[in-house]
Amino acid sequence: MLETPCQQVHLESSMDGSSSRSSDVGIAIFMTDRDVADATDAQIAGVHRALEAASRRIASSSGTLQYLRTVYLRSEQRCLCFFAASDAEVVRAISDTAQFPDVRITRALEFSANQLGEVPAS
Amino acid sequence: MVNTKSANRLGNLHIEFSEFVGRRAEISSAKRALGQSRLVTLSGPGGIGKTRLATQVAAEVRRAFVDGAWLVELAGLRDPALLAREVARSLGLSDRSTQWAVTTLSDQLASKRVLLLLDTCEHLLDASAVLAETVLHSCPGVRVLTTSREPLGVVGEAVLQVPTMSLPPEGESAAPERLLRSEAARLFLSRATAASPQFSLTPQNAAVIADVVRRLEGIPLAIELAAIRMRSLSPEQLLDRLHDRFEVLSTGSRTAEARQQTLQSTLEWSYELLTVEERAIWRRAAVFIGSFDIIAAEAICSDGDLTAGDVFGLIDSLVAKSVIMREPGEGQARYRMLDTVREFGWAKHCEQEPERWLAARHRDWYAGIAALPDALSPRQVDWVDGLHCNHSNLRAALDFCHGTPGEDEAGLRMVCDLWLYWESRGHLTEGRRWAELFLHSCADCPARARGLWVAGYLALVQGDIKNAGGLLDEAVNLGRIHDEPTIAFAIEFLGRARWIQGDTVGGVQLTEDALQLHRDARDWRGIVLTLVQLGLMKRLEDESVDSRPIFEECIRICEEHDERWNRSYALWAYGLATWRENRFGEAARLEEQALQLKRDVQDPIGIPLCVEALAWIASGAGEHERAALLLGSAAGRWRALPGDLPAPLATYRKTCHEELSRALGDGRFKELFELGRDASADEVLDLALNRTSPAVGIAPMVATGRTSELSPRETEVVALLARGLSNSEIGQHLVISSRTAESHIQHIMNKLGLSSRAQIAAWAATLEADPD
Repeated sequence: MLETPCQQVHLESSMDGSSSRSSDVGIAIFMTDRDVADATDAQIAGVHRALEAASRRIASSSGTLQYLRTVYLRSEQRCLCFFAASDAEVVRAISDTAQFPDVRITRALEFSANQLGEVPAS
Repeated sequence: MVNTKSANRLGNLHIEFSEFVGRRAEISSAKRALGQSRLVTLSGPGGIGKTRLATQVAAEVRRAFVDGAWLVELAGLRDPALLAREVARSLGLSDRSTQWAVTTLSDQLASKRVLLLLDTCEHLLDASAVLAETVLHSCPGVRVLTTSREPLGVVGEAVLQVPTMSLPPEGESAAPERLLRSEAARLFLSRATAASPQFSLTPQNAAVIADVVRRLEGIPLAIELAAIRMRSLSPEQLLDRLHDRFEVLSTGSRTAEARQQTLQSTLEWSYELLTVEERAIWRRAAVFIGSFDIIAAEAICSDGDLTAGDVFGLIDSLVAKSVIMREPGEGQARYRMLDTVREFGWAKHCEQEPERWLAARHRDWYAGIAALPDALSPRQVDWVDGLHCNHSNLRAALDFCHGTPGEDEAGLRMVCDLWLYWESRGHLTEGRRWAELFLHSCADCPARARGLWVAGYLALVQGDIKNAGGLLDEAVNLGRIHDEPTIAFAIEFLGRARWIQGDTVGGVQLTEDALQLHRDARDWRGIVLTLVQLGLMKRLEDESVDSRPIFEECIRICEEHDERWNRSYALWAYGLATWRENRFGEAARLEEQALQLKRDVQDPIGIPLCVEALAWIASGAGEHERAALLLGSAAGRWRALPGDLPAPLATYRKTCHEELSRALGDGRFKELFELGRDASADEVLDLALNRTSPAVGIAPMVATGRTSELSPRETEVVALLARGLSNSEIGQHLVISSRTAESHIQHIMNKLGLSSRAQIAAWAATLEADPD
């Protein structure tokens, strides 16, 4: 449940995973981390669908935010979900609406392949 | 649905006291919509009758759903994160794991044909939509009917706007038989007749009644509130008063806004017709969320002007006036208000009295119940049941603490006082969420150390050992610094966490330290909790250790205090230790006693623990078929929670599996295991306690002994026992003491390989039927 201060990046990511510079000042990448024991592929797909639906609904009422992706680390039994959002509370609201609560939320720095290591302007 | 004794396969719909009137067209539309769409929403403003209509629709279609129609009341839930767990709770499922709740719900419903009725979704619209989409995607046999002031907005959702009730046409002659074609008039007549049995529809009053229901715009709640006035007014007088009241509205069009004004005016009018004291009760009872009992109302709603003794009469009066409803059901009467009526009362309260005063009294009352020392006492089942009935009020009290400056510590204390309630009814996630919320805002308060161990304990029970360890470590450190009086619990649970993580020596040491602290404090509750844990740890750590004195001390203390929860755990652990000594008959009797207690105290996790232990014992005793059935039964119960054995016991399960596969062959083992796994909760208890098989009804499975093995006196005892006589009655018949009778019964069970009086009686019955 901790939010770790980290460099804020200005990225806009699409559902296919590509990222580009955004003009939306104040949008950052957030990662949620939750222990999920012995999840099946179908269960993680269900989490993905629920987060996608929750972020779509909350975006329609609270402005810019985007659910990006979910990654399940089977060996560590951890589920990592990524969002582009204005603050951690919006991410928490998405997680609660998807009924996937009690996540640790961390602001993240992300580079994608087409950025070639360029440090984004903060 | 899955694991509760009270659950009915056809669901949990209420039977309302009052007659359902009209709405045939809407019912037909809703049934048709449910046939075509898997998500149907009945939408409309407050007071229009969405809930009553939805419940009626669900009742009429429930036979099409072999696994039932289930009502989930959401008005008292504010936290969207708990929605899936609330649905599971309504289905009788228990929250034991840290799994994603939507998944566990979907897994339970995947192969079921179920209608879910989600009532009052408007304040949880997004979460309801996400849940409905996800469940419908994974569960092809599930259909969802919702009520909401606005649609969920999900693709495929069929939305039915609930209209006002049909009115008598303007200008049409108002003959009684014509008036009865109007639903609004029929509802008025039904409620007016119920309120005043001498009232009836006549050719003389038909036109006036037609005007009354037109004036009320066909809004069901407005009609119900007005019809009750027929106790003291004639139809003409009622119409006059409505005319005066609603003159300002009479020229308006029938828009939604105008109808809301009509409803609001009817509520205002009903309110003004009450006495000052009745109005005060309407305002103050609006503090309750969900239902409430008269004792709570007397305590919370009284003040210097309104004594507790007045409250019952006033509640009774408001029931008669349809402001408050008595809930259907047996036992202690409970009351509630329709949401629209409650919201009106609360708005009035906020206008006239300090809002905080009433909410604080409500919180104090429920905090007081939470703090009663009943969790581990003869009253524990009543305490848990009482809290269960008031779950929405507990949430409201905690919401008050969270939303009111300076009340966070009171909230944390209340969460801590409820720790065994969160556990016993499977509200682990909810308890943890509240604890985390208050711990976040109580960084330095004296209750923090206790809050940490309660959060750690709930995490521990949920199997989240990593987080439990961190919380319990912090609790112990903080408790030592601040001399926290309940630190022994923190140390005990930290010991359990260490033990589960494989540090058996460290776990035992911490548990012994905790036991000493409990003994120093003369805290019998702490002592019995710790003794169970210590006895089990020591026995499992070293098979040569005799842990019987530990369990016997625990059982003795529990019996002295008539405490059943820990006694059941002590018997369970004692049974395991006895089984490891290969004393199978004694072990089985201990586990059966434990299981009976667990059934009585409704311990959801304790039941599969005992059933699985009985499987291991049966396997050891060579009863392989029974063992396979029991092992499957335990697996089914664990799956239904969901939950699982504590990790240190997993090796016994594995060994049992292997032994049974070897003894029975893989095919037969699988067949019996699956039979047990698919048995209902009641069948599992029958199997475990009465040795019946889910496949063969109540026929005794095992009675390996023969009558020739019994002495003549034992044969006489069997005959008397089969007639249902108690030990003392058997003693009187045979002129022996009841203790001697008990001793004979014990010998009979040993000789026949049976383990209960019921089994002896069943066995005797089979002999009568087939003496050969």
